[in-house]
Amino acid sequence: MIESIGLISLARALFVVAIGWLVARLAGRAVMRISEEHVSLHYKSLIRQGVVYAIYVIFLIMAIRQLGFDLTILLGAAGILTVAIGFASQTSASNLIAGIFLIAERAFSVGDIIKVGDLTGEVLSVDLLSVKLRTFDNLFIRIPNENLMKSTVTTMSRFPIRRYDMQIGIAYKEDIRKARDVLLKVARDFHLCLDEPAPLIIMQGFGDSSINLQFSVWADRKKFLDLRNGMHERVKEAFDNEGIEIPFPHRTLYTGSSMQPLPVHITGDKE
Amino acid sequence: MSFSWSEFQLEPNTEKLIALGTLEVTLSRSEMEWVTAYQYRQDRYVNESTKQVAAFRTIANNSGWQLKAKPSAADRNVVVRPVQTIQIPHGETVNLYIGTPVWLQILVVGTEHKLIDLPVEILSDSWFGSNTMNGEICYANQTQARLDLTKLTQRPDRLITPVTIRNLGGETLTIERLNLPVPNLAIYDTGASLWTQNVDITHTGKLEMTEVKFPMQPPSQFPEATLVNEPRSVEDNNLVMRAVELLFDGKSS
Repeated sequence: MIESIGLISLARALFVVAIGWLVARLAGRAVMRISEEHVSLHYKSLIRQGVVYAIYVIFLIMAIRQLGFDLTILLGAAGILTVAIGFASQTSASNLIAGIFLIAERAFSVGDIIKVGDLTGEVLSVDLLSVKLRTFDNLFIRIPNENLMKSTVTTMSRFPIRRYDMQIGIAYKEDIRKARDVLLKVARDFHLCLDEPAPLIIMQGFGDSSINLQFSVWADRKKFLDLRNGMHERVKEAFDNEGIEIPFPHRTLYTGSSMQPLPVHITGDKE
Repeated sequence: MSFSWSEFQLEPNTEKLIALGTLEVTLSRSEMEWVTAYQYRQDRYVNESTKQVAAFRTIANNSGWQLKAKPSAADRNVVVRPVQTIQIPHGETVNLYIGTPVWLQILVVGTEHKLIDLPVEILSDSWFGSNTMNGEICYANQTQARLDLTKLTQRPDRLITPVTIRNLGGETLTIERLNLPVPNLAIYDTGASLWTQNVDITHTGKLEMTEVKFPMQPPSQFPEATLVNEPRSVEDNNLVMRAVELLFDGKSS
């Protein structure tokens, strides 16, 4: 008889858990159906996680009660258990706290392109323990939140426009003013290059083999890659047309005594 | 106008070339589909190496053989830069005529499906904002900003926007760039050229106090002009506010 009561309680508890799982899933889906006009994808996924976990906890408590356990005793035991778990899961706890800070700070959100160390990718989700990225070569990467808190994160999709800094070297014999005019014309004649903010040329100095210039142009963030590819093509074409040399590294050998030519000996088999 | 903004029919398995500005569109139709191809002729932004033809097919099982060409305004604001900056002293009112490139739409009569919606020339991108963080991507265009209506050249590939600027502020207003909210403007055919409605700007001192109005009626210079296309975007208060905030890139001095 007691055994059959126990089995009935267990069946009831399992039923409650199953109902809870179903309700949590339905609630999660309902949250994701909210229009993006009202709530961003980032906040939708956060709300979904909150709602799902809250429903899980409520139904779990209901299931435990169905099994006949006294919750006050359980909570007391849970206090002792928490200390033990706390020691055992320091990494998870620090990730969790880092996750809360990341969510509150809103340095980036779902859909943003971020760069962390050598990794660049689109943010798929910002969870309590980790951030999931999809890299441009289609790899799924999980970065623990603790690592993100400690490292520099660059959000590449925050502002609508971006600057591309092109490093160009011209030969020492070339006229710098002419090279500058040619570069500015390249920017003027490329429709992806914004006229405002205006393109900028910065003299970087005299290099080993070339006069180094930085040519900075602005573009719509969404067309950045097209601009980058197009600029290189157009600068090379314009320099070729104008006869401006882009030099390769030169090396001059010095023999030790000035004005003395490098001695050359021709050796060969004597016939 | 030499370009005909009207309905036309394509015979089976024939091609029709439509050229306006530097844009060339080739249309053909078989029983099952439309084939659309377009390219831009060589100009400032297109050279031999960057010139390319884009083509696509549209299924046409349930559509007729009639098409129509419609002019439209740009899909983003156009930032026009006068060839020379314009100074408007305190108390002066100026009427400027500003030309911007038209967009060519080709629609299937009946279904109203747009086969193409393209600018008749490639436009450069530009940025209009108070800094590099806040603002919007626009198109850039240079304008003569004519003051005299008789000196305007009639071109089928340009839209003329009459802009009236009243400077009621205490200082001279210098205009280096002007952000025209063309997606909010309707298009009118005067019989000789395409116009938008009037844009009236009243500057009262501070840029944020500038008032912009573009009433939905034919341009006052051609009250008989016929409406040929509605604005792309329906005017709303936010947009008008944004236009007001970002209208000038000039200064009061």
